[in-house]
Parts: sequence; C-alpha cells; structure tokens
Amino acid sequence: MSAREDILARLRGVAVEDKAMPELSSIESIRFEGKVAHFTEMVKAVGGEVVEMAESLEQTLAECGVDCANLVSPLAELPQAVNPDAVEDVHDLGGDYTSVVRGKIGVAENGAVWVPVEGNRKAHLFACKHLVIVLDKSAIVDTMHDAVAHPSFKAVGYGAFISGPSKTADIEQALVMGAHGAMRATIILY
Amino acid sequence: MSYHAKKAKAFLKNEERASWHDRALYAVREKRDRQACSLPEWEELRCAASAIKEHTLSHLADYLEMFERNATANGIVVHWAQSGEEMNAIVAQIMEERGAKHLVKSKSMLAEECDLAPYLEKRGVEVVETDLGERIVQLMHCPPSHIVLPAIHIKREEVGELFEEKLATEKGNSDPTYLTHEARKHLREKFLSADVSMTGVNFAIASEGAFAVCTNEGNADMGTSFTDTHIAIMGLEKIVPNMESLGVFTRLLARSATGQPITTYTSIYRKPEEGKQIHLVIVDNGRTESLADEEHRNMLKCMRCGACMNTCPVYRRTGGYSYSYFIPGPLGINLGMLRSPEAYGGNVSGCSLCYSCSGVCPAKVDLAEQIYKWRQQMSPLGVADAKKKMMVKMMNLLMRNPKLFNSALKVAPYIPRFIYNNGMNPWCRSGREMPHFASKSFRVLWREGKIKKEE
Repeated sequence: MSAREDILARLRGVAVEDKAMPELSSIESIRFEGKVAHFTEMVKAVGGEVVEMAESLEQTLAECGVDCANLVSPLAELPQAVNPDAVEDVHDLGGDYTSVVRGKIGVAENGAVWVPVEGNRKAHLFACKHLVIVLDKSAIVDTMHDAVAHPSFKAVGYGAFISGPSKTADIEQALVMGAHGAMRATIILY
Repeated sequence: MSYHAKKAKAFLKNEERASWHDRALYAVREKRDRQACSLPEWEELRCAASAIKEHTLSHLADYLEMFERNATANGIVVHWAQSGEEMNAIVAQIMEERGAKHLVKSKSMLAEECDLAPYLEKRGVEVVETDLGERIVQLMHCPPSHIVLPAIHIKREEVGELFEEKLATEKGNSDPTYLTHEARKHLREKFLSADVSMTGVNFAIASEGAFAVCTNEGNADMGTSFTDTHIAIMGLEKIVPNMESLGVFTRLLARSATGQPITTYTSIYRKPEEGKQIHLVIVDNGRTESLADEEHRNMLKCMRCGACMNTCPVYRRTGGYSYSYFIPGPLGINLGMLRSPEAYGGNVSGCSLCYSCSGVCPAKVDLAEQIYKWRQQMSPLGVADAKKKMMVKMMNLLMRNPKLFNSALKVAPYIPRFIYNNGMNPWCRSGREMPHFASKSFRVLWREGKIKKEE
C-alpha cells in the first residue's frame, strides 16, 4: 500500500465520535459604527498610513512623496509603471521601487486589505520598498468573517490579506519595520 | 531531579537574564489579553475554533481526500508521508530532480520535528532559514527556544556579535533596527539566488484545495516569489473545512500568538504561477496514533500559536532549553509524551498545574488537564522518578493511618532540625528553610478546648 492509502486506512480505522460542524453564522461578531474610521485607526496601529485619493492616483502618489518615475504596477491608470507581468524575469525588478496595487476588501478589525493577484506575478508586492494599495471605501467590512464571505473574495491563484508594512520583533521584542517586504505601506482610499 | 529541573537550575543561575526572559514573555501575554478583551465575542470564537477542529478530526480522512482532490485540480502536486523520514526523502527527491542546491525556508515546526535541515545538509543542500529569529538561532547552531519567537532568549548584544562575525556588520552596533536591516540585505541575496522555497502551512482549506501561510516578515512570500518550485509541508491535522472556518482562525491566531490583530501577511496559495510548481507534502508522523488516543486526541486541535508558552509561569522562568522535547512549554510537555514517555517523561514536572495554558488556548486544548493525566500515568508507564515514588508511598502510608499520622505529629517537634533541614533535602538547597513543626497540632489544641469560635 502507498503512504496515502496507509494513512487514510489508519485514519478510517480510528473510531472518533461524529461531531457536527458548528453554526458559525450565530457568532455575534463586533460591528463598528464608523468602519472607515476604525479601519484607518487599525492601519495606523499596525504601522501603515491611510490617505484620501486626490484628483488622480498619480497626484496622490506624488503627495505621498512617491517617485512616480520608479513604479511597478499592473494598474492601467499608471501607464508609466513597469508592469510586473511584462518583465521576463522578476529577479530583474530589483527592490528599490514603489509597488502600487488594487485591494478588494478592507477589514476594519485588523487593518488588513485583501490583495488578490490577478496577473501571474506577486514578487513586487514583497520585494518593493514601499507598498501602496488602492481601496474603495465601500469595500471595508467589519471582520474577517465578512471578508471571507465577501463577493470580491473569489478564487484566484494567489492572494494575501496584508496588514501594514513587513515587520519583525525577533531581536529583543523591539519592533522593526521592513524585515523583508515593504518598509512602508500606504492605503489610498477613494 | 527531573530533566527539566536540572536544566532549569542552570538557566536560573543568571538571575538577571531569567527575570528579563520572564518579563519579555509576560509582555506578550499582556498584549494577547488586550486583543482578547477588545472582542466581546472572544470566548464564542474559541468555542467555534474548538468545535471546528473537533468536527474536522472526526472526518479527517474525508477532508484530507477533499483537499487533495481540489488541490490537484488547482495544479498543486500532493504527496503523502507516513513518517518524518519519508517526508525528508520526498523533499530531497524534489530538490534532486531539479539539481537544486539552495533552499530558502520559512518557519515550520514540522521541519524541526522531522530534522529536515540536517537531512538535506548531509545531501549537499544549503538550507537557509529566512525568518529573522530562525536565522539567528541557525547561525548560532542552536534550536529555536520558542515556536513563534525562536530567539526570545537571546540579547541584542549577542545578535550584534553574531552578525559581526557572520554578516560583517559594524563592530559594537547592536541596534535592533540596524541589525534587522542588515539581515534583510543578507537574506535578500539568499532569496534571489535560491532554487527552491519551502513554507509550512497554517491552514489547509479542504473545500478550496488552497492553503494559508501566515508571517509578519513576508519571508514565506519572498521565497515563493523568486523560486520556480515551492514545497509546502503540513501535518495532517492542519486541515480546516472551508473559508468560513478560516475567518474564525485568522481572528484568533495572531491575537493569541503575539497580540497583533492579524499577521502582516495571511497568504492564500491556490494555484502555482504559470510555469511554476507547488508541491505539498501531507505528513502523518505519529498523528494518527494521537487521534486514536482518546485522552490526548485534543492535542491535534493545536494551531501552534505559542500562547500557552507565553502564559506559563514555569516556561517563562526556565526558558525553552529546559525541556528535552524540541517544543517547550505546556504544548511541548504534551507532544513529547505523545511521542515517547521514555524519552520525554522528564518534562512533565515542568508544570505547576496552574491551568493558565488551558485558559488562553484559542482552540480550547485542555493542556493542563492532559499534563495532569500524564502525571497519573508516570508509574504505570515506568517513567516515574524513583525518589518521588518512594516519597508518595510513605505519604500514602502516613495519610491512610490516622494513628501513625498523629503519633508522627507528636514526635515531629522533638526531631532535631538538622536531620531534615539540611542540604540533602532538595527543598533546602536553594536557601529555603523547612517550616517548624508546632509543639501541639491543631487536633490536639482542639481537643484541649483551646480553639474557640470568635464571639
């Protein structure tokens, strides 16, 4: 027998009393009066920044101090940006740029944003110095329960809930931003 | 003296460091408390997590098959391993087939459990731990001392000296920000030159054939972004039924582990990028035996957050290296006993039965209750301490025989103190005094009418 058959047979040979799946919809989870305000507070608490969209995306980026000549982004609004799906090898992207992507769901309880990767490449989300996520305010929900049930939380090859910049506290519990991924994270709300 | 007691003694020699270790972990525990208190539904969530895990464990074979079917349809290559040795061989073979010599790895307790890194290193593979804490202990040639905070026992000056030697950092600079960013540069090179990446699995979602990996640093995603082959390894208890369950667990995990509302990255891998591969190894390595053990089955509900360690007064004051199993604290005491009572029975005394671990566990694993059960089994399993066994026998004799007990109490005040209050008595070794026996016991005083109710 193969390892697979062996393991499954052993598991089926163990008598475990049948336990029903709990009814999760009965959990009375927290609701925030001002979702956007709470989301903003949480993003700041996890080390990120929140700004309102100005006239255009490019102008907003410029106001955040972003060098618009040094962008990696799949967004059509930023034609001057390097499209991560167009480069031959992601190793060539380097690491000294700002990555701009669209988030689909914001989560008020923890400041996380669901970023599905619709193209084929995700490297720029992590290798960049500064990550900018553009998010529709009306897509901010209260909790993770709402996030995983949201219509925008659909099947993609890869996606991540991202909450603030990359961080570590592995040296004496001292919090440091920019362990591997983005050193700075900005959410642009529109 | 038990294994744990001996090692703890060595750890406690440096009082200042022991006290610092205690405070550092208690601060994490307090952060966890603040997060738990911020959600009115916290206890409901713990109940839900426990119930989901219990349901999943009662249908484990079905969910594993469902996961395999869906993951395969998504283009993930699924492997099965009965033992650690089998898992290691599968990983080595995947590496070998690609002529791969450089593996970048994010944290996985399963890899530690199976001694994967030394296995691969013997076969000429460079294994690079990419979590900062893990990299620090790897460069020091030490195992992690905590499952979530691997380098919690190490001071910044020691990291500074280590990096000076290994990464050529500035002499005498032990600033955490400086050292972290130097490690970032060092590991960035490793990410860019690796052939294969490895991650653990926090949650494997059966209905989707997808899996979630949670990190704060982004090291798991860095690794998988720059390599063509991603190997994910998971213990077979990591299965959850669906995305709805993931909603519950992602609310509990980081809050319990480090007191954060969620990890910085909660990444969901469903399909490999075009032209790339994801291999996933489902590992048993004793887990089906644990499932069959009704008394200790609950250990399979654990999601490895480490909250039980941070709250444990014994762990905080004795450090991760005082336990003989590679996972310390209440979790490690239990998992060690499930692995081998003969090898790891010496950890069971590292518990004051305060039950705090059971109170904080997000999946409601009854860690302390199980340690208590193991203690009842020490003698039948043949791993009880001979001296303690003798003492319990004598106590038993004394307590069951009132005449003998009362006579002993009468005689006790006349026994010269040096007979029991000396260095032979373990109680006295750390400078403590035995209590004085009263000249008359309570019972005698009562009989003489000297104890009266207060008017």
